[in-house]
Amino acid sequence: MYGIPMPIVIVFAIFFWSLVSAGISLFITSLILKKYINAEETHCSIYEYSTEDINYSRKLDQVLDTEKQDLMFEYGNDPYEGKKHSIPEQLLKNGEEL
Amino acid sequence: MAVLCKNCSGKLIFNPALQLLECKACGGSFRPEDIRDINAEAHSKYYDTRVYVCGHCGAEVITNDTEASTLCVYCGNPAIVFSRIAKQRRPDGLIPFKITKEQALDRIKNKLFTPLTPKEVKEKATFSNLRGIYVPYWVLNADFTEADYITGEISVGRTTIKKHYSRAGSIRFNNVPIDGSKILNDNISMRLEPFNLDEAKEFDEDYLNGFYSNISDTSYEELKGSAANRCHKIYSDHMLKSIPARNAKIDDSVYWIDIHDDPVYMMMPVWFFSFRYQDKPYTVLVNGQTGEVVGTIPWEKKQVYKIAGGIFAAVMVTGLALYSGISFSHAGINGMLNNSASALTIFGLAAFPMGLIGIQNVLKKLSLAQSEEMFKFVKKRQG
Repeated sequence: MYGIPMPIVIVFAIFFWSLVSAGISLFITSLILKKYINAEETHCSIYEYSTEDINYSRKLDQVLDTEKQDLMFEYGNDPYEGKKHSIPEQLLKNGEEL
Repeated sequence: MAVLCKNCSGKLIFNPALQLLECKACGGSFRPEDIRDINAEAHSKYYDTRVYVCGHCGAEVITNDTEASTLCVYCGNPAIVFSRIAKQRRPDGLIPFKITKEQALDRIKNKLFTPLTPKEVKEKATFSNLRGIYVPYWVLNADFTEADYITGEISVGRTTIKKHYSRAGSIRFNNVPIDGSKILNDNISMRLEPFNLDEAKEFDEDYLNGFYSNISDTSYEELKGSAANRCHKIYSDHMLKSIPARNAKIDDSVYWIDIHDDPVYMMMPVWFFSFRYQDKPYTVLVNGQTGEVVGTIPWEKKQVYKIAGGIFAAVMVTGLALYSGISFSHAGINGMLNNSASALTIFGLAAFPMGLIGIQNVLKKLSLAQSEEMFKFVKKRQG
């Protein structure tokens, strides 16, 4: 075949087909193992913890690649900065022990 | 400390099936709220506990009755010793155990035990390896703001185009439970959710009888980091569903949280099944209220190799048969066989990376159940 000696063709074919077989074997084995895995993602939706939907201040499709920096810059400051809250004693105590 | 039966002074244990305190000596049963705490005034802010320390992983396990701890619930090591009697800050509330030890063990067996589960692990599924622990949680309300830069794919004719989206928004979250124990990995604890807070009771140490408990050891900053990550997960999962593209994923994001005044300190019921297999520790958790099972059981490697080897051999033989058929058959059949061989080849080559990723994901999930890993992987919180 195209001047390549037959034994080389056969060895190459076996190697190639072994690769294909290994791929299929790996894929099916991973599916079998996955079936027996239970560390699933939590099934809690947003409505488990909120009575409202997300209040969007920006909802743009088809933005340019360069707009990422602008977005991160615009929202990069803590909007809740400076707000003081009452903190339970246990959490304060744990902080002191660190 | 241990609450005694008012009929015979026997030790009272909380029975999750009946939601009553039962006396093992005389069979009497009482509602926890009906048991008069003779030290009520002294216990108004604190309660007495027995602290055990694991010499292997350093975890502290706390009991409030006279039951001695025999193995660490976190790493399964028996090197656990009584440390001290300590006064603990009284939590605001708790959800009592509803799932019994028998039910928890049945759920683990039904959900996780498969033909691939090693016999040695099956033999370890006994009551002595199952521990009921009240895990400390902080239940909080918070305002949350997030901005995301998202990438997704859309099809235009036969071409796939990458598109970018930007989203920013805010939302108020209510009653989000965040585990307050450093030793419990956030990736594990969030899988135990949801807890039904409608069934929460005012904290009464009588509910702890027969169980262990842990105290919150996180600081406010750590709690804030965990809460921000948890809210980000809930928010982004929901937001990504609104993106009109395939394979939408967040390229970059920034998020902020404002926890409202005084998060509530709660105890949540969790069953821990700890065991060692081939010198590695494993922990499977069961939500003591809902029965949700979280964790992964190791599998018998020999069995897996047999399956993988069997599939490999079957595909090899099929391939050889197909190629032999191509060589020796007539032109019509030859074309069909050629197509089958090509399809199998393309599938096999595409399946290789998918299989590798699949196996990697499975191993990653298995590592989450390994409690020493859990211990090392102690919460990485946003400061």
